[in-house]
Amino acid sequence: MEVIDKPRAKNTDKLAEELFIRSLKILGGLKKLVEYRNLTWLPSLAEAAYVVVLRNEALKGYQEIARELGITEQTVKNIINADEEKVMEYLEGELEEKPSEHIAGGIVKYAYKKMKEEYEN
Amino acid sequence: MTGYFLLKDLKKNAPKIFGIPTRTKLDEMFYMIVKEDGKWVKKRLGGIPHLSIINITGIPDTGKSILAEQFAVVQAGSGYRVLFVTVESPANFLYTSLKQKVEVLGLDFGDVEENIVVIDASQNPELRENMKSLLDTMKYAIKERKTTNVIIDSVTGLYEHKEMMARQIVRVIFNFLKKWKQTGVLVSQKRSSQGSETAEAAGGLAVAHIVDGTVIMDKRIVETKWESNLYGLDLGEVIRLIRIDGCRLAPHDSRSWVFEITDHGLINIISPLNEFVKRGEKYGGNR
Repeated sequence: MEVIDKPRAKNTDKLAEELFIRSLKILGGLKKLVEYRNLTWLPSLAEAAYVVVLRNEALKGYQEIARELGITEQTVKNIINADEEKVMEYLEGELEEKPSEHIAGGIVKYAYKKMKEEYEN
Repeated sequence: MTGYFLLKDLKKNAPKIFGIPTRTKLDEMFYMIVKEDGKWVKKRLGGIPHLSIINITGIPDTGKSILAEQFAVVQAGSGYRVLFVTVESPANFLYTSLKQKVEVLGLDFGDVEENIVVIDASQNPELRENMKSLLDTMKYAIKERKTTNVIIDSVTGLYEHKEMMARQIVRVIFNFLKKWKQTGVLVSQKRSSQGSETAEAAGGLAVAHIVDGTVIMDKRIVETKWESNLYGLDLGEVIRLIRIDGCRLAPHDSRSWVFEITDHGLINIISPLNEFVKRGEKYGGNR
């Protein structure tokens, strides 16, 4: 009887890194962030990438994610509930006012949606 | 991938419904309707429906794990590969339990050993608490070992401290097993406060709405003289009941059947409760 007692998986760190890079590309790449002096977005994007992966792939609860990443449960909820379409409209200049959504969360969620579509096809 | 199809386009991928035996009378409780000589007749399916995801649920000590293990060894002993995800009992304990069942059922342990792959999530929090890790590991086992049946004992262990995620977790597992064309048995626990006659009996948390069918295992202590006369059991003895609480893939008997856990640790389903009472059948050898 074969017993598998360790995960045989592409781990969540790798997936979060991939999502982070994809999110960066949506923003035009690292260089664009440097040019527009938006490097402060990076930590938020990294955080949001982990939140989205832990929630959607690992199916972890808000509290668990908050504990694991050392952030508040409210931040986790804000990322998970961010309206990615609205955030994308804002980034594309279609909205005049900055939406109340978690911007990094919206970008990462949009990247995640695209990544899933790509993998499924 | 489009989300809509013409009905005729679905024909080639439509599963054929036949029974996957458990070697208990549960195999008689599922049936199919076929046309013979111009008449529709009821035929035994001979097992749980192929490619169905069946939830076995009940309060503690009702025989859920025994039934799941019995199904695993019967399938493995018949030459089919089984993936057993153990979330509660460590793999070495599961080994002992399966070996004992194989011996009592008179199966070849060599075959069973060869055909069962175990994922031990009981000892590894990463497998138990990270669904991605678990599903990727299950995918590896299904692809590499070419399993056709998956047992998860218990699925409740995957959301025990986050019940608000229960539906999402069960839904993901359900879709995963469908995608990989597995016949699945998910053991789930219900609280003793969830009465066996209510919708909650199907495991609570709406798990029953997601899976294809639910088997409820229950036990009652004979507490009144009336029950004692009815069941032919002494006060304080236990009567065990099993019933199929809905299955969307095949018609089924909806009566409660009496069963026992034998001295050798197997599930023996005896007869429908009404017949059992009417005929005064033997239960546990003491009636």
